[in-house]
Amino acid sequence: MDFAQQLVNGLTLGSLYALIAVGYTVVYGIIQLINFAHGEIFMVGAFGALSTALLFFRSYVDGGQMLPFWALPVMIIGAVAASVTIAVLMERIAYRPLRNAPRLAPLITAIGISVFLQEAVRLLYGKIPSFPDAKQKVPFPKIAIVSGDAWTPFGLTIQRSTIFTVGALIICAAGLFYFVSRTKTGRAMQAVSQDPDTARLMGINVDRIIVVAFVIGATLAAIAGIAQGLQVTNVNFKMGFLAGLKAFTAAVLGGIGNVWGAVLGGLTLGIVEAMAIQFIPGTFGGSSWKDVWAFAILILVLVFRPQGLLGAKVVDRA
Amino acid sequence: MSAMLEVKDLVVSYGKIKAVKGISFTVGEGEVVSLIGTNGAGKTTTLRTISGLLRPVSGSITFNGQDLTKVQAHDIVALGLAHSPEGRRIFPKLSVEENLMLGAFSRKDKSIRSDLQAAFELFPILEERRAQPAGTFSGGEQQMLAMGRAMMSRPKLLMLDEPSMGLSPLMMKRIMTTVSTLQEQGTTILLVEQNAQAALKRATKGYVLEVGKIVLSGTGKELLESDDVRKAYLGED
Ligand SMILES: Nc1ncnc2c1ncn2[C@@H]1O[C@H](COP(=O)(O)OP(=O)(O)O)[C@@H](O)[C@H]1O
Ligand SMILES: [Mg+2]
Repeated sequence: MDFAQQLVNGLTLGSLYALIAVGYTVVYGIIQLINFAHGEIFMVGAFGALSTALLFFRSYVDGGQMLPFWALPVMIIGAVAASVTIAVLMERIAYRPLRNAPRLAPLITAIGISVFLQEAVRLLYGKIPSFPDAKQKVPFPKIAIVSGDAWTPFGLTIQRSTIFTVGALIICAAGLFYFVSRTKTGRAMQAVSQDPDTARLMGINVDRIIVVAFVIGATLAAIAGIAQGLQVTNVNFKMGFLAGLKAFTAAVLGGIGNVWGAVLGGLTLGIVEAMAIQFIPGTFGGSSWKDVWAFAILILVLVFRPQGLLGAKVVDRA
Repeated sequence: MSAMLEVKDLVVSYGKIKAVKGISFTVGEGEVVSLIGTNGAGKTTTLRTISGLLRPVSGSITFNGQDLTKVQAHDIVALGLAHSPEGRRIFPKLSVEENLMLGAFSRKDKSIRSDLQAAFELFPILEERRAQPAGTFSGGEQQMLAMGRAMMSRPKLLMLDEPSMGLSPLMMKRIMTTVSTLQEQGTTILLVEQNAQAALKRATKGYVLEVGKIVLSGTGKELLESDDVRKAYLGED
């Protein structure tokens, strides 16, 4: 029973990591850039959802009531809009001018963007008329059906937010599969990832494909932002840091550059963390050590299987 | 009548290294023009500059009256200029059919499917293996795929960079025969080769490139018969 419960917990956590990890991996697959500011795209998505609730469902929020279920799609749209806007601006303003710079330059820029976005939310969110101060945690609204009492089949505890998170991952993964393998833009994306110069000879606008990669990553991160808000019932300006690092670990674990690797890596990492909490005895067990185990995995992967579980494209590049 | 492609005083460099040092040549409609020269002569650099992947230091490139040096690389194929690059550069993880369809990426007309059939007729092996990942192909098959892919854009001018590189004599012959077939079907061709014999035999016109400069030009026949070419490129004395 403990095992089954931890499997549920691990899948919940893992689905969240997977949704964020896809963003690291699609961008890396196209331009070999590790966008360390991607965690902040996730955070901005969560705040985008919160802002949408504050703007359109204020009476529910103030009255402490659950938002109607149809608020969920509206909040998803708000979250995605916020994340995509920031991601596209980030690419255009910060990364594109550095396209041919040494690889350290965009990496340091990414860290700068991270700090900038965190501080912007911390200092400015509360300055928006009628919005709460965001220097500390801000409560995330509850939404009918996806918030509320857990289900307890066979003695297991399954939170409603778990269903949302895992369901979101399944839908996003299916959508991504269709997009990448069946649409013209998706194939162009694969072409750019395999050989950008030859892709240009085909008439593919590489700059446009890079923007598409950022948009896909931001969309999934925004949905993850809502999932996180529903799971922990609050959001804060720092939430992207640890989640981002974990998702990056998941992407490396699966094989960075490989979309299915990101999904597999996310789920694996989530399950390992959940099992570590339950089954590692004594001082090193429990939730305070789970992050240590997660990053220990990152280091082990980097040392023994740097191409990740499913193998990265870097290796088989001509 | 002005030429389809006109390259004038083209200079291209990689940082401080000048790879192409002021070359001029023309390709007229319906011609097969061969650009020959040893390794490092600047042939690939020239083609990549025409395609917009590299920008010239100076000089002009005019295609059907349009200045290509101001057009973005991804917009050039839509003007009717296809480039089959050195080393084939097929997309290894995509299937044969996906590779071919990417050749038609810039097109929006309705006859893409019938052109796919035409590519399969040109190279029947591609149809047999249409769903196979292109990376599993032999060099010759990859070359056929690369040419088929370039033809999928319906080019007015097809640029081929060393299509015979690393191929068996039999496969080389097959590829060169296809070059003639394509010309007969109305495609103008700019053929870059180290294999001078094969390239000049089919050429209406040829240019010999040596360390970034054109040192000799003439009809294919003239060049094949010239002593300099025979010595330098055909290993005769
Ligand atoms: N990416 C590059 N960076 C620097 N030098 C290059 C590069 N590509 C080619 N060169 C140099 O430019 C010259 C011409 O090369 P290239 O155009 O490839 O010749 P070819 O195709 O005739 O063999 C050579 O001296 C080569 O070393
Ligand atoms: Mg070459």
